[in-house]
Amino acid sequence: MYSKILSGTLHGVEGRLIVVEADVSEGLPVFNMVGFLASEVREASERVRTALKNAGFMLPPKKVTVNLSPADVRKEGTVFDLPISIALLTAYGYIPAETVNGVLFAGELSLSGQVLGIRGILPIVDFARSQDIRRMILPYDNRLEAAMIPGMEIYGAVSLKQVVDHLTGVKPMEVERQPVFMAGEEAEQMPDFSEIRGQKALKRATEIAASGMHNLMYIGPPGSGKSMAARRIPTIMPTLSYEESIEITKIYSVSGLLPSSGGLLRKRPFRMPHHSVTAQALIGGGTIPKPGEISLAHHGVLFLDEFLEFQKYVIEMLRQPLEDGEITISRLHGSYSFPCSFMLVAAMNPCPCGYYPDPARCRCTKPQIDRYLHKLSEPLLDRIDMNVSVKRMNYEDLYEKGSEETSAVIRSRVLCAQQIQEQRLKPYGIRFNSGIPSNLLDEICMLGKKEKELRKDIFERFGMSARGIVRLLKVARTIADLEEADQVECDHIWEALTYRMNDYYRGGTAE
Amino acid sequence: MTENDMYWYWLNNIPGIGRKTISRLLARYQTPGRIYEAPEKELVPAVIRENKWNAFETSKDRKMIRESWKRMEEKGVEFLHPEDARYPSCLKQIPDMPYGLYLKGRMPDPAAFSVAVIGARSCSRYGFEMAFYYARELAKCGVSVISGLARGIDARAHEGALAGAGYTMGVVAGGIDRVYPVENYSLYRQLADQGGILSESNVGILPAAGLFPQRNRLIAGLADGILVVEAREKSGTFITVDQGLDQGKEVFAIPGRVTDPLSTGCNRLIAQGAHMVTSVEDILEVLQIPCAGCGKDGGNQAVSDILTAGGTKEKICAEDGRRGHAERRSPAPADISQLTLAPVEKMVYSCLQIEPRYLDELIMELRLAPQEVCKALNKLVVSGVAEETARNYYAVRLK
Repeated sequence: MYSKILSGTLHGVEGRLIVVEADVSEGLPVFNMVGFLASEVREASERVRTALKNAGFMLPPKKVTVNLSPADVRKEGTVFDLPISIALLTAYGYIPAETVNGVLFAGELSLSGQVLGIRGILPIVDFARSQDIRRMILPYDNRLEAAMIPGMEIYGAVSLKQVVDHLTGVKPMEVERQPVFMAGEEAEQMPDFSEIRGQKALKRATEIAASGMHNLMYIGPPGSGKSMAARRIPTIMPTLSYEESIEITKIYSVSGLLPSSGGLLRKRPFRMPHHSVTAQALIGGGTIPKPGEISLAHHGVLFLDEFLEFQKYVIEMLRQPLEDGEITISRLHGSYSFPCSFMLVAAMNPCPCGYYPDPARCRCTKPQIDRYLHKLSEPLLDRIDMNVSVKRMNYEDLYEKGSEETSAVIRSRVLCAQQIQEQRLKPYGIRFNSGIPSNLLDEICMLGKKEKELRKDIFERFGMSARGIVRLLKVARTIADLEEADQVECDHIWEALTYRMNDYYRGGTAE
Repeated sequence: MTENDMYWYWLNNIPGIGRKTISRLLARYQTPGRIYEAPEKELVPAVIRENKWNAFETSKDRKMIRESWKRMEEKGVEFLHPEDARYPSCLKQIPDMPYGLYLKGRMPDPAAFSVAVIGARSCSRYGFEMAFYYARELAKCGVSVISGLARGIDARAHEGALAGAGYTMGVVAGGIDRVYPVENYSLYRQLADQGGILSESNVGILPAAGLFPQRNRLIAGLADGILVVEAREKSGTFITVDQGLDQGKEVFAIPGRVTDPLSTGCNRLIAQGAHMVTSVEDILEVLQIPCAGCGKDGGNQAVSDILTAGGTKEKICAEDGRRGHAERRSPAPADISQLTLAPVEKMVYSCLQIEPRYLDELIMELRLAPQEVCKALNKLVVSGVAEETARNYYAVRLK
């Protein structure tokens, strides 16, 4: 007899449907599995047969052929154990064929017949929904993750026996109730900007950067609060929309990083890879590409502390993803795309000892500093819009009375500025000011006569490059949005100058 | 290359023969030519030790000497010996005078006054700006500025002199073709074109540590006065100062804050009797230098005028009566009275000092919104009265 079961697999962070066919016919007893299988899928035949035996099903020796189609997609992972066993049982006639129609199965089997959890269920469920498949039987461990997609009929199975009993109507399983929309609801202690005392310049720069999603660089001595500030950037970004939440959760699902409690991720990601990170870990990679840190930071913050300590070629790899908000990794079996629109926050010391320009502590010579800064890649710096210098706080400021603004207050301003941007930039297909292409900049900034004159002055006075001016104006646009001004005015440009990236470092030598 | 040049060049480039031996040889034979011809039995062991004789003898290879000279000339370097007209007479007066000098560019005008502007390599912005200011103002008065082409104060003094369109000479420790420190390369080029670079070492010699005190002796020797801009309690600058004092030169020092370790050396010098400098005139008066473009003779003329005026030194310059003592040129922040500044900008400006201050300190002190302070600072920078010395560090600009 012939049977056909639906299942799914991953391609990058997207799901794909896979049809598992089984045919049982007379002939020499063989068990054949075909369909471009990876070795772990091939091993499924042993697991499935043993699991079926231990679940109490006797399969008479026959010629069994299992095919996973489409045959040109490489099948990986252990998601096919359950669908293969169900296909076999249907083909052998244990399960009526009509009960498995339009049901998607996924899950790994242990030899005892237990259904084990798998990685990356969310993209499969999401894709299934887009294909109008509503009913799914999945591992019990994955039920909460799957139930995040609304309108699905999810059954979480513990054992193969339970699945069969459900399908044959002996003992139906219960549909998983839809859990609360957002996960991580538990009162988790979130860091807050109010915990940073003083550091007004740093805070202002951070607020501007977060509003326009400008990539930002902190320069300052050790212990000046660079990482502390970076860690708090996600808390001043607007809360995630449902779509954003799904996108992020999918990435984490594929990476197997979702909390066991299930639910959609609602916190903006903050990723802080150590500077020993490899290119594959940062960008994504592996034989079967998995998302890297940049994708895990999607819609959030990628913080690279000790920016200069990263291997140069690893840092260089950020160039294209920063531009495109997406990374495409090509492998023999196809290319995989992972979304990665994140805000890059880099932190570094101003000189080898870290204390420049404090003459009492820093004894670095100009060539030493130059050599140190030489490690920065010019093309990458072109993609960082802002920088701000940070200094260690002195005691009085650190313990001064008075309260600091909370993240919530800052967030409301950021949200407002982002909404203005969204409205203005929608016709251009851009989301944030940082993404404004240079040819549209004049139009979007609506510079007046005075502002254009100022631009010329600055160009000459600061010896800025054309690129530098573009970045300056983007930041000025965000400052204007924070003040809810339609046009970019001189004052906005004046302030933006403070955070300009060009000639970010003049080594203390006056012109 | 004359025959005499060759003998002098040879005498200065014999391995193992230093200034002491040369002076003994010259005392005995008067000219290098005669030393060249002197027989072995006269020299060994009375003047030259036996173990050095071989090197001495083999160095008398005319072809080799000429080749070496050619190599030097190819680098654009000239050789000066005490009999050369360009050899500065002031160096003949110092103890342990050099018997050969290597020059790129030109020597200072012997008729002009010269002041050595020296100080620490790692300096504060105060020292950095003072070196520039005084070197520039002295250069404007036609004073040659001598320094050591090192990092920090030295380099800044040369820059100041060039900015004042004056003559400046860098005295270096190693061979002139060995640019040290490398970051001063463009300054080297400028000095070679517009001023001079002098060394006691032939081309190719690396600037070894032991050569620096010798270099300092030349700096002191070339100058009429020595201005110490910034120096720690223990500083190589004092080698120059001590040698200057031995040579009878005037020593000037710029006072600094008592708490600033970079100024302790200067303050101590003042306590010990160095002239305290708070304006350019402080130097001009002591050295009796008249102003712009006057030579030394003119200076004497000016001094006699002063003396006839009752020694009051009311007017220091005979030709230029406009600048009397009422108008002393002291380093001062740029003038903001000509600018139309908003009240916030004035407030921000009033908080700036010569030592750079960090943006956040200004924000905290002024209790203004960061954006207000940022705007004001950038406007001040663009108007040229303030300067961003490092990222988000601001300081006043000097006039």
